[in-house]
Amino acid sequence: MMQRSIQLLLGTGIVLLLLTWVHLFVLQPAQGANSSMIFWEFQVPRLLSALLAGAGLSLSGLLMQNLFQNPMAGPYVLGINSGASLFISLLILGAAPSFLNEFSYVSAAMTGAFLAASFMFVVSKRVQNIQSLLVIGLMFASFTGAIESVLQSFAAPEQVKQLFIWNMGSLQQMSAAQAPWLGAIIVFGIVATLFLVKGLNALVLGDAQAFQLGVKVKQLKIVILFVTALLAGSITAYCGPIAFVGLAIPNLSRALLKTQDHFLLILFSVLAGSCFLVAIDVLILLLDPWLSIPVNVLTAVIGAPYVAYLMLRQR
Amino acid sequence: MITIQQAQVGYQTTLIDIAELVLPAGQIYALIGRNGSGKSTLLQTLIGQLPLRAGSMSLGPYALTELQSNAALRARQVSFVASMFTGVEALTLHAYVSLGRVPHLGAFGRLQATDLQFVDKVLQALNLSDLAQKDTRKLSDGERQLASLARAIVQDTPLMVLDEPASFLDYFNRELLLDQLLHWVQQDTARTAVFSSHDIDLCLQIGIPMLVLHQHKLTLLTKPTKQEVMALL
Amino acid sequence: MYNPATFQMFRSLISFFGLVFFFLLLGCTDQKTAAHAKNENLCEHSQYLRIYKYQKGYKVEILDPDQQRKLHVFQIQEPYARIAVLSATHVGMLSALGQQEKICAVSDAKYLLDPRVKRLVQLKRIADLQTELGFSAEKLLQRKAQVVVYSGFGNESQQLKRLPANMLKIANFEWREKTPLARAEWLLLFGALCGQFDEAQQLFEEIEANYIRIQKEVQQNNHSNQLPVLLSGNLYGDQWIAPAGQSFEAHLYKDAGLGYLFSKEEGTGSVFKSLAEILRKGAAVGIWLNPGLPSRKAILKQYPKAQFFPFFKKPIYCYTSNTNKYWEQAAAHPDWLLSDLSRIASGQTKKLHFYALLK
Repeated sequence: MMQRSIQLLLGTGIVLLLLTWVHLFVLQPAQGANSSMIFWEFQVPRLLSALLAGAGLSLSGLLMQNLFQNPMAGPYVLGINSGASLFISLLILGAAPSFLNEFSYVSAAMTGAFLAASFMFVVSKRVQNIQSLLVIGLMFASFTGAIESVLQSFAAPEQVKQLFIWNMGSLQQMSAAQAPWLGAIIVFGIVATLFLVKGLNALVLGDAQAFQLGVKVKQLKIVILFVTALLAGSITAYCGPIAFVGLAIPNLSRALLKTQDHFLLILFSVLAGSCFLVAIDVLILLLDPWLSIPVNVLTAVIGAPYVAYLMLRQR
Repeated sequence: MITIQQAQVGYQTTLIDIAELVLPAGQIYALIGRNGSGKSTLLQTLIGQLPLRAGSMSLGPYALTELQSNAALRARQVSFVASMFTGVEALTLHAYVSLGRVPHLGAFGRLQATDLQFVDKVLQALNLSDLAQKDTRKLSDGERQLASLARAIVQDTPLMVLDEPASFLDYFNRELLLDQLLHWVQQDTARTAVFSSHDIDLCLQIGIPMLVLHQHKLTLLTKPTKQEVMALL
Repeated sequence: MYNPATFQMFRSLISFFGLVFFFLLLGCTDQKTAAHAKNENLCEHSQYLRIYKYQKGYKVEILDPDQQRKLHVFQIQEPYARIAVLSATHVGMLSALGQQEKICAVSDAKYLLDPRVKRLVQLKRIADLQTELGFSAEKLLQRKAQVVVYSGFGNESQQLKRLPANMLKIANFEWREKTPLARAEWLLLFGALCGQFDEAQQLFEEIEANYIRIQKEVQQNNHSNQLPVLLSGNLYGDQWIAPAGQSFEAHLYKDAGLGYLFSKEEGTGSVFKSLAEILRKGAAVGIWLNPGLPSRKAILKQYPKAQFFPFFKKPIYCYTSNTNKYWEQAAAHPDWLLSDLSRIASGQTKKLHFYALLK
């Protein structure tokens, strides 16, 4: 059992290294006078975006599935991105330009994500089944979308364009200067989550049993909400909303590892999430001579059928 | 040993009034009462999920209030088995039982060799070793309930509380479960088990002390007979 | 149908039979075909617009660019006095003809430039329909519009379908044309609608002559084989969107003596390029045109990594110094556009109609 998990972890790690190599050196070989600048300012941040966003999103999905005690939870379907998106819109459209720095972006996205996650969490206590929760998530997303539209009608065309572009989601927007910030946040999120393993494992049995096993359930849930918002919010701030990774990868991890040990699930989800997004980006690079595909289109093409399959299997 | 004094048990209103009650250790107590008499409420109080409305209670050397404020301590003093566990996807029986060790583990939740030995020993004793790698969702009701007992045993607490642990089981599984519980209590004189039940006949047959809930009062019958019990109910 | 060859054959046949049988018939037929002889398509450049002159007025045919069939065929006998125009380009064409008084409704009035139109909107003599795609059919009816001109986006909106059959609905495909002059030729349509066809024709001929003159000057002055290489467009999300090699923009760049980075790309619409390709080819670029933003600062704000584009240090030009002017007047004035671009090609930053060097 343990051996199988270790094999899978090692295997995924090797695939990730291979994909990284293909991404950086095979598909984007150095050429021309500017090759070193292009490498450090464009190729490396793009790869780091895929690595960090993949890891962070699937980890936040894993945390949300644990928190909601529901395998269909995820930052995108439950409107966490929408909360971040709304707050970023408020910032882009509302704030003075001098306020638009790294810190304000990330903190706005995180605040939005945290509020959305908390709202959904409170709501989840009142609905009986997962379908209702997903519908509420959808409603929440369209509600924040509507508010954004209203805000946009007051905004200058350039601001609207900026917001529109950001809302498409992209692995190519983050700059080399921003990468260490996102890296630090994601690494912090992973380490913090590893310290929650015991509680996460117990929470699988439900609040009452977790309580009986000595878990401070309320405190743990607030910490989970906070870490989720930190991860999903910061990634949304830097890369825009990226769909399906957070929902699909933790489910895939559980299915492959056949375990509820969150120590293994965290490590594998992080690796597999990175692998998935880097693979998606490798595919985008491969297809580039013929057609250019936005990252969210490809995650949806692969992720949506898998999620639909999971939904069908739920019944 | 459980000591209760001048206690009022209940959520918004007092359901049970207990003037004074001492339950010596080394015994297994069956909690009997009609539906709605407050069996579950009393059990919730015993496991520290519900504070007393008035009075005091202590489990062994610890006051209930202390256990309520100290989660780690509580988890090493009281274990709990619910009437039903439906299973969790991708959670094997072994992993489920191992979760009983959570109160004894470090931050990362890693099982040490001694923990694993303990889990294996309990699984063997309960005859569950062959099912260890089976998904908890694919077990039978009887197997799952036995696994829940194993999980509580593995938690290694002086007090074990069980809420109608046998109500969904057939006759043979009921007897098996009670046998194992009895066995657990008899292994160590410091151990106490309290379980609620509707199966008066089975309890009488095993010959264990009964706690009868009736008209907001709790009565301990150390050597109950059917007449005594029926008179109280 | 009535090309000169068949006409000749037809006449000789008739003459032959006429000699043998009916003498009268000859004269009759001759008179009729003579009237048709003048009746040829008056649009030389446009692919999607045909206008024929009749004794009583004009016959207009508009072709659907996607299906190569006639979308609208109609006759204009009387000039129209109440025309609704849904795009700024259409407003610009009517303004160029001095026919602002004939406009009864526009969309997005807040972005309009022409002072007379703006004044008429203020006086409520021109209705503001807000957005082009979501305009209200009811408002148009209230204004008693006789004609509505809309941008042909392929499928007609529900609002258009609600308009009564006797209201003339015209899809404008000016933006699909492949050459700048073909775009400007749509002036003739507006001339015909307003009863100002001859004036429109005169204006167009002037524009055409101007355009050709500038084009020739460019050719004469271009002695070197090294044309400045132009990159057009900007990054939208992960994709660089630029005009394709056969678009009117690409045509314009060529006429202005600019080498266009994507001149060999098939198509008349847009091309979508990855950032990697732009970076690869970017070193050759000498001028960046149309980033769609008013300043270098705005470009960096939208995409901070633009500072690393090899062409970010090169001159950047955009029409954004007066965006409204560009959208309203550029289609009707390809000569001005060409003049701007030929100046940009030779590094002159002054006396530009639409463009400005970004700071």
